[in-house]
Amino acid sequence: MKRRIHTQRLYKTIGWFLLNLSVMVSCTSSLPKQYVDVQEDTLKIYPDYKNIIIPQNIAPLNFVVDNQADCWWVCVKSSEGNALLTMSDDDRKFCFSKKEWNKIMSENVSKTLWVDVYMKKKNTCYKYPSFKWTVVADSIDPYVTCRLIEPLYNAVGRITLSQFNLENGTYKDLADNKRFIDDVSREDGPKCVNCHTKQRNGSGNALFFCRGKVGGMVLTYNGKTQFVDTKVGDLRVSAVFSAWHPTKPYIAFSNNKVMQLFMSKADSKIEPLDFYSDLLMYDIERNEVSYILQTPHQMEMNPYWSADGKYVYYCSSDSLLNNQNVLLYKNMKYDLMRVAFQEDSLTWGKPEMVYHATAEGKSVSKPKISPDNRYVLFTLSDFGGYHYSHPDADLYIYDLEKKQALPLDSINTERAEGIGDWSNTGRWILVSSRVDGTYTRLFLSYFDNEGIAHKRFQLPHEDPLFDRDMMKNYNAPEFGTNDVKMTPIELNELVDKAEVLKANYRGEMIYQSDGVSGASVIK
Amino acid sequence: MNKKIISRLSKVIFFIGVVLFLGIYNYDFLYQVGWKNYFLFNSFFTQQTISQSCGVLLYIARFLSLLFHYPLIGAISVAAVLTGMVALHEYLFDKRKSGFSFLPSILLTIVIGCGGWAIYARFEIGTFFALILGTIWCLISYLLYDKFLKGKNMAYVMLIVQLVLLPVLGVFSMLSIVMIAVEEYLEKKKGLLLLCYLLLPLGVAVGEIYVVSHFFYGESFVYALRMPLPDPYFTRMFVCSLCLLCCLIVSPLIKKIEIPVLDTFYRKFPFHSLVLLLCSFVLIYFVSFHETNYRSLMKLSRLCDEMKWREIVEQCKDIAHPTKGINAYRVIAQGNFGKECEKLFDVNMPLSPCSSPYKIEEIVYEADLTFYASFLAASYHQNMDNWVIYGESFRYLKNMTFISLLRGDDELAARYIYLMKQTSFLDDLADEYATYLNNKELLYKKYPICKKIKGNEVLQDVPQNVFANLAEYYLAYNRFNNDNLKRCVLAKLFVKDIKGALNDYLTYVKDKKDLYQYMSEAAVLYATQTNDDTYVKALQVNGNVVNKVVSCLREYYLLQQNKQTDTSELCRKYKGSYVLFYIMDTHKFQSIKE
Repeated sequence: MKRRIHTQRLYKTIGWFLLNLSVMVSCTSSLPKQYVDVQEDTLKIYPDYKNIIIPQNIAPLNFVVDNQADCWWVCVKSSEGNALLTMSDDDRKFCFSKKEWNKIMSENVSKTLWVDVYMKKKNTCYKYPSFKWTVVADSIDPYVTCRLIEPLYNAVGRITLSQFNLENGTYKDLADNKRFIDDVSREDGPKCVNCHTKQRNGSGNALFFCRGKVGGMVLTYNGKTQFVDTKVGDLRVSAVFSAWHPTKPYIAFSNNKVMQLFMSKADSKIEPLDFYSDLLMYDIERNEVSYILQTPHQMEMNPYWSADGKYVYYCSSDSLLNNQNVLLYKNMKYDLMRVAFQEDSLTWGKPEMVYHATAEGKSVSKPKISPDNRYVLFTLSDFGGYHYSHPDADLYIYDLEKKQALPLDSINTERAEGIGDWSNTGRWILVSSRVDGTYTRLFLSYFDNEGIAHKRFQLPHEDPLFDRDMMKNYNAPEFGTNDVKMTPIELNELVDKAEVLKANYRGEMIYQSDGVSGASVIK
Repeated sequence: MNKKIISRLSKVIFFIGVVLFLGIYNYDFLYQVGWKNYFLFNSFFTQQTISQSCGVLLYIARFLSLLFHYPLIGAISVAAVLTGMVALHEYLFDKRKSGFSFLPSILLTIVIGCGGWAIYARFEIGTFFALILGTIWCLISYLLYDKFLKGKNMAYVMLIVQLVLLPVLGVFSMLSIVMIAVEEYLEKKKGLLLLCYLLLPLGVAVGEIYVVSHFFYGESFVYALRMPLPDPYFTRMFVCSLCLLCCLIVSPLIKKIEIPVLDTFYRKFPFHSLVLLLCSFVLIYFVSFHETNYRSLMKLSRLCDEMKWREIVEQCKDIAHPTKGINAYRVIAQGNFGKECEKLFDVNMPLSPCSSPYKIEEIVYEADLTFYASFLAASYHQNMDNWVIYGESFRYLKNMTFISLLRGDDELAARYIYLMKQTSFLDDLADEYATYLNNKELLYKKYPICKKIKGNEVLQDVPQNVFANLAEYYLAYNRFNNDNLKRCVLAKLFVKDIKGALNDYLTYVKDKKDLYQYMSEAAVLYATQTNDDTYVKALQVNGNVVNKVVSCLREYYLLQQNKQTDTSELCRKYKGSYVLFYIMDTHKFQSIKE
């Protein structure tokens, strides 16, 4: 009995000792009063949130410190120097409380916040040079939708359409191709889901494509969702890249026959290219597909409506590729063009050159028109229409008033940059970048009244290591103003029950199927 | 010898038997299981794993599967757990020690032994440990009920707990309920508790099936959804798992049932459990997957990981019926061992079919073959494709890291190294790889073969999937030399594209001497099969070679006609003749047209 009591005492003592030790070892919550200033800015934080402009409604900018130390402190201060938020961590991971963060943001609109980072190493405390967060009144669209997919998709694995909430850093899946598995046999694996696009008027109208046996365009219009088969008339493939008219029930799209090359040496690793493509429009209310441009000797892709709906901007190339000349893929270059739309008669004007990139030996991809109709944002590379894997691909902005294209140096890096979207106000740009040459990550950048883009910063997540841990790419990202309510389960139900609505075709048939291979011959 | 000692002895024998079966006989298989597993200590992985059906159980199971990285330790751990399970089952249900208690553990051993090619397909590696953990849960639940809750109101609480745990434990929480319901029925307590135990799970099951089939997957998926069971696609494993479930359900019955004849038998033959055990191991051996070439391929793959080229060559010499995968590893080893590639066919080749019936074999060797053939980008793509199609695994992660390092893609390599550091057993390897970032000389020093691989890599950037002709692809590069061209031609012979190899040889190979013997025999074979003697003429094939090939083919054809399988004499007679290799597994082989 006596021995048992002694043992209990021993355990208690050890427990008390360990508790005290842990308190002594872990960081204290108050900031160090005495410290040495680090002269050089050697602080490495991930994501890089140093000296950036942020919207007032952004989610907490949680980050981790990559430097080594025993203990870390972070203090967010107002422009007057008052400490607003103090945190300490010996795990180098700083996740701000959403409640406190939102309070700070709302109280410091149009002000600058300063962030001090301290560390303790061998009983000495150091302070790194402060960095700033400039909070602007221009809010950002609260959602980003995109596809999460492996970087090299010779095969289809698990693909999700996901929605990221920029106001709280959370995310949810909207569609998951794993749920489209029809059969347990391995031959009939998951299907591809891609390219979620929304109408910009906040109506909730949106679409995405689901490929494979249960495939089609999944269109949500006026609250009703249905499958639409757009491969009608003499179309050789169905819709691929699509763009909603800003207000009317029209969807412009290109139908691209895409091929992928896997490169032996290049950093790009993968090179998608088109064998043919044309521009078309789907009139939702008439359920009718018609050509915008039917050009056997040219290729068109990436349509995008101007903010007033009077033009469709697109990329156009005079080069044609086929199985015989596919090795000349580097000759494939695209210009930025536009075509006028007469809404009364549903007719189209003549194509106009907007930016003659091929004259400079360059190629344009993914044009996006700003909501004020003044700027066109696009990527420029040496060749091709799919720049997301080209290390030389950079973001450019074309001023439609000054008729001048300029690179966005504050955003561009030596890796491939790709365009996401303009925010509703036109003050924020969503950018994708292949940060390590293979995995694409999303960035936001403030675009001010003067037409200047500021330092980009990574999409905020609840867990700051989310982007490091995830082995997938963000693909086809787009801003959203409304929370997309559809869940993968509802979508699956739709897939199960929906009947495919075959669109009608309006226009001449100039391509004819050869009847054997399914390939087409030109008249 | 009394009953107790026999019981203990049989458990010791079972433990040793399982260790030998898994740890020694299936060593290479467990090694591959360890590398096919994937487990990271990060929130993204945790969320992804836990969010699926039975996610928590699979998460724990995948963590425990890390043990398989050290096959012997893994085998000992599994054997210890299975033996403990025997003891627990015996304590709960089989006090007569009839030997029935070995059945669940034997079935679990068979499930692991049946793994085979499944581990390379879209198979959840955590399944093995999930089944073990689930079975343990059922036994412990029953123990709790039997010892503490029987006849008390707490039994209702346990029912609720089991139902709450349904998403976590899947079918095993149901199974625990069913076992208790069986016990209640046998106790003839046909009261409220039994009613609850029968109706509630039934209600939940029907409800869940409705919800799942309407909102998640198709009906065909329902029965596998709430079970951490192997997919029915892997039949043997699935059947054994179902048997395991049945075995657990009838366990309370074994406890109650009394068959006097059997009791007398047990008394008369106290060694019956030992005999049953030995029979079980014979059963385990025959039911488990033990195709010789599969086992060889697993071993060769491991030896290739360890860069033991000499052992690979030695191992291949003894393989009677090599498949493409085995030949691939021999080519890799011969190339790296310093032997010439032409030695590819210099082995005792029997005439039986050489191709594996399992196309999945390509997943094992293709990425290795392209890596050692200096097609680093292709190897990276293959690893990435496997990762996407067949699921994440340490093997693909490690391969992609190493290829990225060798390609000089250091930023990408750093991303992978960061992930490797989050695993418990790739930590050291991650640290080692980290030292190669921006320091390729150190990499070459540690792995001299990599310098050769990098040296043979193509310089120009050319798409890999547009060339119909492999030699044409090689010729696209400035640094293409005759040696590489020979490798390319041999690669075609290796896949028995005889016409393609002959074309390449005649068109591109400058120094024709080295490959002449293979090609001349191939030309004669081609002429006999197609009546086209263009290649025979172009190569000016000697009459002796023509006669030798023709007589070899005739004899082989006769054997085929007579459906004789013993071709050893033919092998001896034509030893060193490469035509034997060409006609193996060529289903279109016809009689010789004069």
